[in-house]
Amino acid sequence: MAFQKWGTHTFSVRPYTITKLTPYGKALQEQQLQLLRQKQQTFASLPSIISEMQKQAAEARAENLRRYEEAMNIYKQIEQMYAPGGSFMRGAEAMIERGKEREVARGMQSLVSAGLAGTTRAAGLGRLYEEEVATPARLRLEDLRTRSLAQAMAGRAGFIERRQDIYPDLGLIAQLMSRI
Amino acid sequence: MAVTLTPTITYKRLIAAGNNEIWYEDINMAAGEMVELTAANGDIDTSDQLQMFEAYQKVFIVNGSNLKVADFSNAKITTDNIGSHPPDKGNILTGGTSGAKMVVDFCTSLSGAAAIYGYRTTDATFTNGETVTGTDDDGNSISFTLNANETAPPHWYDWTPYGNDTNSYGSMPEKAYLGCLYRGRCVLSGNPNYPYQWYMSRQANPWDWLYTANDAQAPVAGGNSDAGKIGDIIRCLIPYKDDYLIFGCANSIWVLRGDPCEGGSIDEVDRTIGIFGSQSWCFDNVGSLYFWGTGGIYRLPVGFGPIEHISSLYMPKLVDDEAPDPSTHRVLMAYDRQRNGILICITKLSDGTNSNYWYDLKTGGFYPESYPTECGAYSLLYYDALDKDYRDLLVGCKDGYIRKFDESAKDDDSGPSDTAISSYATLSIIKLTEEDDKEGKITSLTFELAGGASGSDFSDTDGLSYEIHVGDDAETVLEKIRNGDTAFASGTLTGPGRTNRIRTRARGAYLGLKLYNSTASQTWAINRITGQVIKGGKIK
Repeated sequence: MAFQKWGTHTFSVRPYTITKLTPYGKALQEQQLQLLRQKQQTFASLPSIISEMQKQAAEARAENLRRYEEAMNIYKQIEQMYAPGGSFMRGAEAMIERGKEREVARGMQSLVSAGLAGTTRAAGLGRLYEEEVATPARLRLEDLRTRSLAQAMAGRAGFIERRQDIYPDLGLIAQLMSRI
Repeated sequence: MAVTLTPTITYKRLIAAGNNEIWYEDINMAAGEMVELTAANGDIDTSDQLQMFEAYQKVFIVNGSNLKVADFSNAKITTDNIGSHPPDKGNILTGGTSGAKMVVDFCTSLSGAAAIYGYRTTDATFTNGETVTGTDDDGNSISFTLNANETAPPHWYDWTPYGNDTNSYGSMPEKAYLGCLYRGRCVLSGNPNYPYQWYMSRQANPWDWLYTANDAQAPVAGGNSDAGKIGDIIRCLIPYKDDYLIFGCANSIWVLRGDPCEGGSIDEVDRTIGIFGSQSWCFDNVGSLYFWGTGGIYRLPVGFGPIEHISSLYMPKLVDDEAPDPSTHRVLMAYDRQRNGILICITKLSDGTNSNYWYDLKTGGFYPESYPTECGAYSLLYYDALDKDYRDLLVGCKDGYIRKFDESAKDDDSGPSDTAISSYATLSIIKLTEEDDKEGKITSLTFELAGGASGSDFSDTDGLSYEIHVGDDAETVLEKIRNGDTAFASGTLTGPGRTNRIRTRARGAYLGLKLYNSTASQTWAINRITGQVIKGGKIK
C-alpha cells in the first residue's frame, strides 16, 4: 500500500526529527520522548485511516447513487402513469366505460318504464352518456392528468437540482494532519 | 264623446284540397271566397289519402310520397349560387341595395342555386341583382346575389330537411299518410313500409329530422309497444293541445304524455279497442274524445276515464250494419259547436253513398241520416271563421263543393238541382191498456204541430203525414213500421197549431205512430200528440 494522490490536493508528510534534547532534566526529556513516540505511532497508522475514509466515502457515494437512481425511477414511473395513454388514464377510461354500461342500462330501464323503449331515444343513450358524463369526466381527468404530470416533472427536476455527491471532507483531513 | 275602436284581428284562412288542387281563402278578398294555389295543381293526389295540418303559418300536406308545404307567411328570394356559407335557419339576411331584411326559415339547397324562404321584417323588399349578406351560426360571412325580385306568399314547395341536407338534418320518411302538430313538433306516421312507426321533427323546426341528436328538442322516432315488440299499426294521430298525443291504432290505443325527449311517457289506453281511421274522431267542447272504434262509437272522457261504448245500448250491431272498410270507406267525426252534437259520417269513397248519424249531446240520442251521393262527406271541419256568417261545421263533399247545414233551407243542395229531404220519426211504442191480456181502443188523436198560429212572427211547420199501427205486442208493431206495412190508419196534417181530432177506432194492445214528410221544400215539427183510449176486449 502506498500513498496516492487523492483529488486535486496534495499534502506531504514531513518527518519529525529530534535535533536536540533540552537540558532541563531527565523528566522533561522522558516526557518529550514519550510524545515523540506517540507522534511516530500516529504517523505510522495514517495511511490506514485515509484508506478507511476513502472506502467509507466510496460506499456512501454508491449508496447515494443507488438512492438517487431509485428515486429517479419512481419519478419516471409517476410520469409514465400520468403520461398520455398511461395507466392513470387507462384506469379512468375503464371506469368511464363501466359507468357507461351502467348508465345505458339504467337509461334503457327508464325508457322501458316510460314506454319509450321503441324510440330512437334508446339508440342515443350511449351518446347521451358520452355528452353528459364521459366527456366532462374526461376533460376533468385530462386536467388532473396534466397537472399531476407537471407536478411529477417538476418534482424530478427539483430532485436533480438538489442532488449532492458525498466526497471525503478535505478540511477534516487537513485538520487531522496538522495535529500529527 | 265618440269612441272609435280599431280592433287588431288575427287572420284565418280556410285551406282545402280536392281534385288534385289546393284552394285557399284569400284574406284580401271577401270572406268565403277561395282562390286556387296554382303552383300546387297536380302536385298532390287527392284520390289517395291526404291529410294536412297547420303549423308556423304554413300548411303541411301529407299525401304519401307527396310531402308538401303551402307557405302563407314567408317571402321568397332566389339565387344562382348561394355561396360557400349558406344561411342557417334563424340567420338575418340583408339586401345590399334595398336594405330589406329577413329572418331565414327554410332553404332549398345549401350549394348552387337555391331558394330561401324567410320572414321579411322591413317594408323594403329584396330586389333582383342585389347582394344579400349576413352571418351564419359559425360566424362565417354569407354572401350571394339575387337573380330575381322577392316574391310574396303564398308559396308551394317540397317538404324536405333543411337545404335537403340529409347529413346535417336527417331524413324524412319516404311516405306518410298521417300528420299533426304536437308540442311544436311536426309528427308524421302512416309510412306503408313501417306502419307502426311515428316520426317527430325537432321542436320548432319542421326541417330537422336528425334523430341522433340528444337534446331536449331533438327529433325522435319510435313506435308504441311493450319493450321488444313491434307495435300496432297506427291509424290516426290525435293531439290534444300540448298535453298529450293519442295514437289510434288498428287494435289498440296509446297515449304519449309530454315530450318524448323531456320526461314524457307512452302508455296503453286500451289494448282491445282500435280506431278506424285518420279522421274518425273528434273532441267535444269539454275535451272528451269521441271516436269510431272496433265496436262502434266510443267516448274517452276528459282526464282519461274509462272508455265508454256509447253506441252499444242503442245500436249494438252498428259496425256490422255499416260494415265500413278502411280500404273503401271513410269514417268522419266532427263536433258541431253551434248545434252541440257530433256528426258521424260513413262514406263510400268510390260513389259517395253514405250513412250518417247525428249524436245529440243534449239528449244523448243517435239520429240516422243519409245525404245525396253528391254530398257524401269526404271531410268535416268546424271552421271558426272570423266572419260569423262563415262560422259553421263544414262538409267537404264528394262533388268537390264545401257545404254546411243551413237552418233556413228545406232541401239539400245536390249540385245542379236540389233534393227533397225525406224525414221520419217513429214514436215510442205505446201500451194501450194496463192489463196485459186486454186490448185498448183509440177513440181520437189530436196533433199539435209547431209554429203556433198561422202567420205571425214565428216560423211555421209545414205539413206532415202520419201512420197508425197497432198490434198485440210491441215488436210486431215496430216490425210493421220498419217493413212499411200498410198502416191501420194514415193521413196528412197541414198547418201549424192544433189540428182537428182524428177519430180513428184503432184497436190493439200496442200502438205505433210514424210521422214523416218527403215533400220538396218542406220541413216539419210537432209539439205533442194527445189521444183518448178506452178498454177493448181480451186479446184473442
